[in-house]
Amino acid sequence: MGARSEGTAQAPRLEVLDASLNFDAVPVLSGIRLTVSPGELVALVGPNGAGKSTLLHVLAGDLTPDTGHVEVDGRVMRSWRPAELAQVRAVLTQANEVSFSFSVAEVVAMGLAPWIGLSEHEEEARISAALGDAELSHLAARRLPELSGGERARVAYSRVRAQGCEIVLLDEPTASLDIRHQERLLGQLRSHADAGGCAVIVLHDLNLAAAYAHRIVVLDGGRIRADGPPATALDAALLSDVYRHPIGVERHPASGALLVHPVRRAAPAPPPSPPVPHQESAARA
Amino acid sequence: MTALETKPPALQALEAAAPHPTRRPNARHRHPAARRHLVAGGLLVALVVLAIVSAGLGQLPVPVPEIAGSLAIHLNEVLAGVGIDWLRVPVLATPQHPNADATLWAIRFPRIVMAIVVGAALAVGGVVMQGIFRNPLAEPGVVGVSAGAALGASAVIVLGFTFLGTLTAPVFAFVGGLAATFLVYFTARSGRRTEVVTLMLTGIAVNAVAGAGIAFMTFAATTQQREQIVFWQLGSLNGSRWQDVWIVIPITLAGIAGSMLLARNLDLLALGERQAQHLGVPVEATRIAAIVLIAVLTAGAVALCGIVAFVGLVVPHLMRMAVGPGHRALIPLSALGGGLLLLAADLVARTAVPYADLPLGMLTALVGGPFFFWLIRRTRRRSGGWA
Repeated sequence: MGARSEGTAQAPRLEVLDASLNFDAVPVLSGIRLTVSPGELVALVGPNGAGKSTLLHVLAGDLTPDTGHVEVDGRVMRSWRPAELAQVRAVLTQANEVSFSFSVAEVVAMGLAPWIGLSEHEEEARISAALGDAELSHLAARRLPELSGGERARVAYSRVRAQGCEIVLLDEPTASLDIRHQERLLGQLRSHADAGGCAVIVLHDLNLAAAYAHRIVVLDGGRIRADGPPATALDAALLSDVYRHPIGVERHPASGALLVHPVRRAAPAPPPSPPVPHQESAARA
Repeated sequence: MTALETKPPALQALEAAAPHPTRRPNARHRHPAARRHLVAGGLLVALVVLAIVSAGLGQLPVPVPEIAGSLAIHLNEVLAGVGIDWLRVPVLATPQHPNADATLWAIRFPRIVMAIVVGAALAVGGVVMQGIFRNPLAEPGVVGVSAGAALGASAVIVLGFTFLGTLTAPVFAFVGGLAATFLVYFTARSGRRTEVVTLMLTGIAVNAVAGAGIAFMTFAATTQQREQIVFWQLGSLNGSRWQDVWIVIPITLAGIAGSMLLARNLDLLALGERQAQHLGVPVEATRIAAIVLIAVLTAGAVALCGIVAFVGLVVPHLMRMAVGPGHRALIPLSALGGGLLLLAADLVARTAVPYADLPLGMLTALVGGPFFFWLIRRTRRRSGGWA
């Protein structure tokens, strides 16, 4: 990403102003105020049904809030044409089912769709870089139905990388990834933000959020309950209340990293192993 | 964008020691462009050969050299007509039978061209419909678009409309097909996607209503009109005339050209409607354009040849297996494949039983029905349910 120019460094890329949204008279978002500035990786966390995905769709322009509005680079969402918006922000949705058996390389190349007039060389370079980001180079020629669920999730992520937008919105990108790819993905997004881009990521894993996000937004019942750096947003009492389950937050004794974990009652004594009928085991032996 | 990650040596060693499991490389993916050219060339050669063979077969057999000779004579006349005197195509042989030339030019050639053009229209209509529905089972015949178009055409016959001249039937077929396509599209979709089962049930409903309309038209028709309607329902290329061909060719060419313009957006729609929009596709506009194209392509074919089902299902599927699902290659190749399939089917229709012209729609359904069944089973197995 290009270096930020001094004057616009602090101008927010995304801004949600007092947005509320109802589905069939049921409020799913209420009074949301959120600003995402260049250089920020923002994690959206909260229990199931808290409105995380809905908020992400509002940020992506898929849903229009009933009240309030959303601005991208200071312009109201309505005034953006899809083709314009596609050059500024990329979106990774939760489900990414592809209808026909396209190859991995073809799907990743679709990420370049907003950029008309790239040279062939440039296209190839961007595709192979994006494939490398998701460690898919060796699968480039494979058809999607032949891949596992986690590999398909990486294909979708790779497509978003190929799109090469400064604003990146991702809905549970790590859900079906193994630890290595979870870490790689968040590491790449963190460096994307550190280089001047910005990312909003819906995450369930609070430890991943704690490790990589600049800011964590805790949602509950369609409202923002906390918004701040991990150390302040991840408050044990708040989380316990929001998730309706006792949650502990500690620092790792060696690394000092924040560790979030559900508090479990002392493990119940293991059940006594069932008595093995003597004769049977003797007969097997 | 990419962060150059500095990895601890231990991790690097680990990666080097455990390379990614590379599964058997699949040869068919290696040179997709070469493969596309091979398939296109093969289809084109097969089409030309079959067209010539087909022109020679029938109640009055005409040997191939005589067909070539007849083509050369007429081409030379055209060349002379436009004042190109220096260029002449050598005439290998002149048709021997007194009626051979007339048979070729008045009956067989228009029918052959008609078969190719209609086959191309139906196949491309299928491709566009499958692309916009994101579903390989969507086909104009199956979901009732052809029936809607046939209803429009039979209404013209019974009501005796002629106010648009020879275009009256195609225009009414277009309106009927368009109405059916919109109906299917907006009722079969829920939550931005089309479930197979909803699509099929909607198709049953649309087919039933259009069938009722056609039945009423049949009831209200005179004996002669009734025969025309039955012809529509069975589908046939019998009696194709040049004047019909000149109506279908521009409609089909326009439809295919329009589909090519949509090819990129149809590819992106495979990712999902939201995902396509995120990549800059104006989804609403694409949808409307696709529906109009489906109606244009289907109606042009149905208005002049009746309901010929399953071409739009079988051909795109086979082409996807051959060259992959990318629409820029799929559309032109399906046009070629559809032309070839319908040309072959029509050859069987008019030569299988001496002195009889079998209904073309019957033949395509005979092959297409079991194929459709197999496709349903396969789709069901692969997506683990009626998704």
